[in-house]
Amino acid sequence: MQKHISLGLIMALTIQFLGCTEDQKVEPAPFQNPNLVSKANTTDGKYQISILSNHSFQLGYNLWNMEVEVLSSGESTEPDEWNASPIMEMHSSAHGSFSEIISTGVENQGAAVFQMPEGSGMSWKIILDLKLDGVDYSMDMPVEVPSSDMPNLASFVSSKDSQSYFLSIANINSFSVGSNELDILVFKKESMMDWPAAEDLVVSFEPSMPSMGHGSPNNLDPVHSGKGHYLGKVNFTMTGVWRLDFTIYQESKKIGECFIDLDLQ
Amino acid sequence: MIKSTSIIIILLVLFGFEAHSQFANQEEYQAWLDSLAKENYIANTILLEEVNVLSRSGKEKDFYEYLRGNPMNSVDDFVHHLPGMNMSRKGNYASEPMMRGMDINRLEVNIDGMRIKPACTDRMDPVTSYMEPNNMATLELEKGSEGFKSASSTGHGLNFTTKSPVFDRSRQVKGMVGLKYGTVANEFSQMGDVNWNSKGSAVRFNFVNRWAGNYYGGEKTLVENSGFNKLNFSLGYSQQIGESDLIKIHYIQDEAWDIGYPALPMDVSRASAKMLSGTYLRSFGAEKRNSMDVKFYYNTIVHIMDDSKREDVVMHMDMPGETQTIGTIFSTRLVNQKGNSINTKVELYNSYSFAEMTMYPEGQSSMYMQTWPGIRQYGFSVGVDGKAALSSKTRVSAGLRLEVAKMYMEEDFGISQFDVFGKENTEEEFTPLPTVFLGLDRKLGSKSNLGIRGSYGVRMPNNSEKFGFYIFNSTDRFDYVGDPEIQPENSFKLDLEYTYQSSRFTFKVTQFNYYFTNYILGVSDTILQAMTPGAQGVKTYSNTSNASLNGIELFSQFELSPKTGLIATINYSHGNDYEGEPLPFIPPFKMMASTYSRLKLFTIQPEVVYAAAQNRVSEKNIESSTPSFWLFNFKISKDYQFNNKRLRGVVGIENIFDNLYREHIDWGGIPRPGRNIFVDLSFSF
Ligand SMILES: [Cu+2]
Repeated sequence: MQKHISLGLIMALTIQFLGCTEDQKVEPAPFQNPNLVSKANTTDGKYQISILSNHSFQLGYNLWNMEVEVLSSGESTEPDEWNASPIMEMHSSAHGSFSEIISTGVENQGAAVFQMPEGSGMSWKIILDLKLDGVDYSMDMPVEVPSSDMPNLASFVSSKDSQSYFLSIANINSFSVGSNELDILVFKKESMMDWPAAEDLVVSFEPSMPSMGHGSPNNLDPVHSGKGHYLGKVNFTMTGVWRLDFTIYQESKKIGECFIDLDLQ
Repeated sequence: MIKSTSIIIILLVLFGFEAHSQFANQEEYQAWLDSLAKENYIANTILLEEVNVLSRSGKEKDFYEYLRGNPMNSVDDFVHHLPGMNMSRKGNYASEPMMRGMDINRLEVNIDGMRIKPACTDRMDPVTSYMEPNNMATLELEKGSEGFKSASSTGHGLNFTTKSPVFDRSRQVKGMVGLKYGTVANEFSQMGDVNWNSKGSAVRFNFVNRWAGNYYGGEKTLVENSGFNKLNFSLGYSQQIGESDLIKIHYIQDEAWDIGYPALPMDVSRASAKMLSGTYLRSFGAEKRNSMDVKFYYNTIVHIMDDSKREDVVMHMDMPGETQTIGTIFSTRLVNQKGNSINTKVELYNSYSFAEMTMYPEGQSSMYMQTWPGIRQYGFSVGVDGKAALSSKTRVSAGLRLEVAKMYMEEDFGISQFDVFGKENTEEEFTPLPTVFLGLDRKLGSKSNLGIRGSYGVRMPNNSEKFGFYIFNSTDRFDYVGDPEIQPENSFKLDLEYTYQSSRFTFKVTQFNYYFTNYILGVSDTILQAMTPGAQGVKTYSNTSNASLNGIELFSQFELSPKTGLIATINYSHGNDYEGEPLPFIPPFKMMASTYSRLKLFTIQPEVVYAAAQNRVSEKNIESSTPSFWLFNFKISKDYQFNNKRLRGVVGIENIFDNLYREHIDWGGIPRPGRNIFVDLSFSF
């Protein structure tokens, strides 16, 4: 008899032992911890416009959310339509950058690429053009873009037509050890105010750890999926500093190469 | 640490002089507790318990004495004396037992039947490294899936039985203390044990403390980073309940620190094992021949590798690992008057292994990965085996065991790591692991015996083979990656054995054959890139179609006179992988001969060892051939007996001619120790 009881007991213990190790994988919801990047009131005092982001803005690609609050009621509202353009103001000139609108309606999401850090006499702002309740507003939203020793940004000059191209990883903040979607954005400079997406390129890449000299297996080169976004797969075998070396082709000719370093946590 | 253990020694000595009187036969109770396959002792059961040794006939006693050598020896020292056994070295500590050329992956090492998972991804801590001979009562070697006691294996099992507190009405307290010093590594050992019993309660405590500096290989070759420190102690308590019941509680702790591994790029700052078990035993039936017991156990190992004491490392790294195992064993043993027996064993276990690696590049953030990503393994097994005489000339033994086990990763981080290979983790299914064996023994005349034994076994892939993540192996300088989809390995074994035994001469020859299918081997993967700086590639553990291992083992013992004997062993193995190429780490032809002579004043033991060159090397493993060597050892000992106490002194010299040599199975091409002079004193009371 004794043995049956004992076995039952240890089985119960074992099951408990196993039970406490179950863990659920939690996918981070977008804008779970909104971080206020910029805030301004309309000149008529009716609305407060906020730009929020999961992270403080950095060089390269940044996703952000726009929220509009009716000041009298404290409730949020949706613009009828809106547009955004990032502008860097320099001492005597200004230039724009790449910008895109990702969603409008209940969720108003956009993205901007900052291709240089702010400095003395140089600062970034996002100009928001909104239509709220039939009225047009134009808002200057100042944003901070500090310099970084590992910018999510790379550029090269095309060996074909000497145009400047810029490249940034759109989903760098979602990277972790393991297999990751890779979403890179490529755009070029047409003029100081015109930074269109580059849609006719072939991109190949190779991840590696510069301090160890090894790479990772089973990566997939990103393929253009629309509006300058190229989707592929990048694998990381451990945390630490990784380098993504890109080679860019146009009409099957290599036109340039560049790299982005990132510190994977 | 050293100070406190010295105090213990002094206390033990003081206690010792209170001990008194004669040996009693009460110890047979103890013998029953350690009821293990005691027949067929030449076939690999070595009884270390002094009580058992003394109760045997003179001839057997010599043999045991001989193999037992001295309790001051380390586990390594005596395991390699067993037929078929070799010890593979990575330095001067924690040698890895190998059997007939099969490594630790095909060797299940248990202590009192308890499963223990080593915690080092680099194989620095075989279970034997957490044991000490003065803990051990018996050592059983199960060759080739025989015996149901160990876990499912395709090679063999090695089970240590620990010493239990002894009930002895005539001597309330007994014990021993010892000291040993060896020159080659400036190695000191001190040890002691004490047994106390009274009215059905008994307690036993023992400890061993060893410390050594760097050792010298032959021809005064200094082997740097080879020192170590170790403290092992255990406490046992037994309580008799009535005539036939007994409860035992046993705790063992082994702590080692600052251990050098010259064959590897890393050392170990700490290795710690803690093992606790509780056993309830009952004997029943006529003459209490039958027994049953239930055991619960828990053990945990912490192993911390680091390279902070190494110069010129490219990048510093930390590689800690830990395991925990919990389990229960229920076993019965039924013996009838004719000596036919049947054993059953039911087992449940659950283990967890975790190892990680952090690298510190200069001026950058650290790099982290999980080399054993939280591996859970649990299983259940049922086994039956028995022995019966079919006629006066024929005996049969047979066994059947079925284990089902499950193994998966628990750490999300680790599961993500494996995503990079596009491998799905963790099909959480039970894997059946059946084991069967059948043996026949037939007497040919009065002195010789012919045996034939066959078995089939299946083993679970180990942690590294299934879920290891870029584990560097310094022997072939490859990074090894596990395969979550790897299948269990199978083996078929056939042993043919001939024994001749007369009153003064024993001769035994065994021819063994193993054929493996799904043989797990690291296979070079040219797509993957090495991770470790300096590694030359990546190998993925794979099920290769087959492998084979054949060989011969010879043991002989001559009693030249009542006081002089000779023991000789010969081992030879030959292994082929799936492409017919040599398997790595196959020991060459090796021979050992030793004589013991009890002279008037002393007992002397000269010994000679010869190993042939190994030129059949595995190119896949970047092995190089190993030259042959001769080795000469000599030992002289003297016992003084008085008042049932014994003082023993041993002086010996190993590798007399200071030969610079290595064995083929050693890692990293490091030399074995050169000339060593040792002095060893022990006092039993
Ligand atoms: Cu280790």
